Amino acid sequence: MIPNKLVETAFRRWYLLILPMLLVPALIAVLTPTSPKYRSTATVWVTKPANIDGGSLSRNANPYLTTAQNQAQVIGDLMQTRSFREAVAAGVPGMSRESSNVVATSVSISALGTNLVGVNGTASTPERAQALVNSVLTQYQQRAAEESQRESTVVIDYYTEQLAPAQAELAKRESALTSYAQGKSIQQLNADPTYAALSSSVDAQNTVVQGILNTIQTAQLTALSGPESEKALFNVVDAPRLPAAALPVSAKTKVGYPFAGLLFGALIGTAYIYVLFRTDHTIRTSQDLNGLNVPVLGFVPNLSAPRHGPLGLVPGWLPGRGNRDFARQVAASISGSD
Amino acid sequence: MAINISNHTRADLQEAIREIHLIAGLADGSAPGVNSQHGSFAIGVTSPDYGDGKTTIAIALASSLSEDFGSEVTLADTDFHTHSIARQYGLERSEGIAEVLSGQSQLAAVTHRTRSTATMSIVPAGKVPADPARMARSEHLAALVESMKATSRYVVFDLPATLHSMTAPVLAQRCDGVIVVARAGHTTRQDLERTLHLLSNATVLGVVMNRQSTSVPTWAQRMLAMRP
Repeated sequence: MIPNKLVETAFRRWYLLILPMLLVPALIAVLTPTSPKYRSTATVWVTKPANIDGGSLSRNANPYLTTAQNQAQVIGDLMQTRSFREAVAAGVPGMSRESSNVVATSVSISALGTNLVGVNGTASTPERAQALVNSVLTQYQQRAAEESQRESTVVIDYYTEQLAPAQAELAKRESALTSYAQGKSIQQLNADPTYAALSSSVDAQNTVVQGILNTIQTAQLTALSGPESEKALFNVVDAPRLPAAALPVSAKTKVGYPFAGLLFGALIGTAYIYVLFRTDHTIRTSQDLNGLNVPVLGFVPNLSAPRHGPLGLVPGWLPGRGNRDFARQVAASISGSD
Repeated sequence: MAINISNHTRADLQEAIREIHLIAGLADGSAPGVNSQHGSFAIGVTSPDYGDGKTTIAIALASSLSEDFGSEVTLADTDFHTHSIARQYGLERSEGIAEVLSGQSQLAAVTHRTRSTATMSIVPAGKVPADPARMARSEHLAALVESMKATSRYVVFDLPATLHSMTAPVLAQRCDGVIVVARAGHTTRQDLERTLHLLSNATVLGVVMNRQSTSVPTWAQRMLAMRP
């Protein structure tokens, strides 16, 4: 059963229920962006989890994800870095490095299939949306090539350092073999186990040196062909285009948010009315006299004096003795007295 | 300034006061104390606070008792702070109860007939006594009340506001019954509880809710089966 006083409070302060239901949706409508948005999309074919650190990612790639999913994950990780976002922002005309946070919210990466990755950019103009996607692709390819080159350089440097001692060891072993073989015939050497051991030692060291030389050569090749290799592994199939039309405003934005605001406003108003009801300790109905063990003899209506202000515009709620004197006049008039 | 009072407004108040007669047992003499020595009844009207409407209810009650039953009714002002009754009937400078109790005047001399009704008399409060509390406790007052009851079937006392004057509970004990006026939307439950506690030695007939109004439309009242 609804307490009479609660109903009375709700109807007396009806504007407290209505106002939040009007103001909150209006505020949401003002704060919700209504300017048109444009989206440009690029589609990229990836043949392996191409990345800025291919070797490492190849080893650590999630085997339960597709190539495209792994690639999307790598670009997504990059988008988390401020330096990458700033570099992307710098590549978009009219966008400063400081707006890197806007980049984070404007770019989305998604795996479209096993090998297809979609890169989407949303902006307030078609040109900016296209430039945003282009900048992401360019920055990614540039970083991937740079990282590949850097890794090759590290490999070359390392193995070049290893090469000299290996070659020295080879020369030393060859010298020992030559010294041992001097003054001996081929028949004697063929049957000599010491010679065979020395010869085998030279062959093994030669294999090591050749291996180092091959690794250096491969790394040099990678360093030289890095950018081209990355393009092959990260092939932009559909370049971003200028979007022809703005994105349609979603039903959630048009109706959902204002409706949610309406409900929230109703909740605020209802809560406030309930607080008023709970904090109102005045007596308004007979229910408020429950427990006092005293009967209610009657209810005397509120007697409001007719207003005689200038042009009759004096509002009825203004304080004063008018109502009290009027009520007494009415009371006295019951018996016909003055 | 003359005020236009519509018949509708007057009738609303009159009906509300008649309901009070009925429920308090004033109409059929079933109220406690009505079978007192003179077969008359002294009713005190008080409220927790000033401005709650006790004077209005006292005037309306006295007028209605006089009009409806044709009985002799005396409306006595014992609120020495406000002199509301005297002001209402233009008796501000007249002597009253204070002078009778101090022996300076006689009850008959301070009793004024209303101009339009032959059965209703007014007794103003008079000048503020030096010690109202002592006066309220005096046997002179008890005798005065009995004198009034001897000449009138109903004596309606406009008592002071209970939470502002400790004279009110004492005066209330001199009455056969007390009506407590609460102002809807203004009087708090705590104030009313305190008032009833102070009047615990008097016979409280009940509570009258004054200035009752509702913002709930009729359809909603019907739908929710609301009662005042």
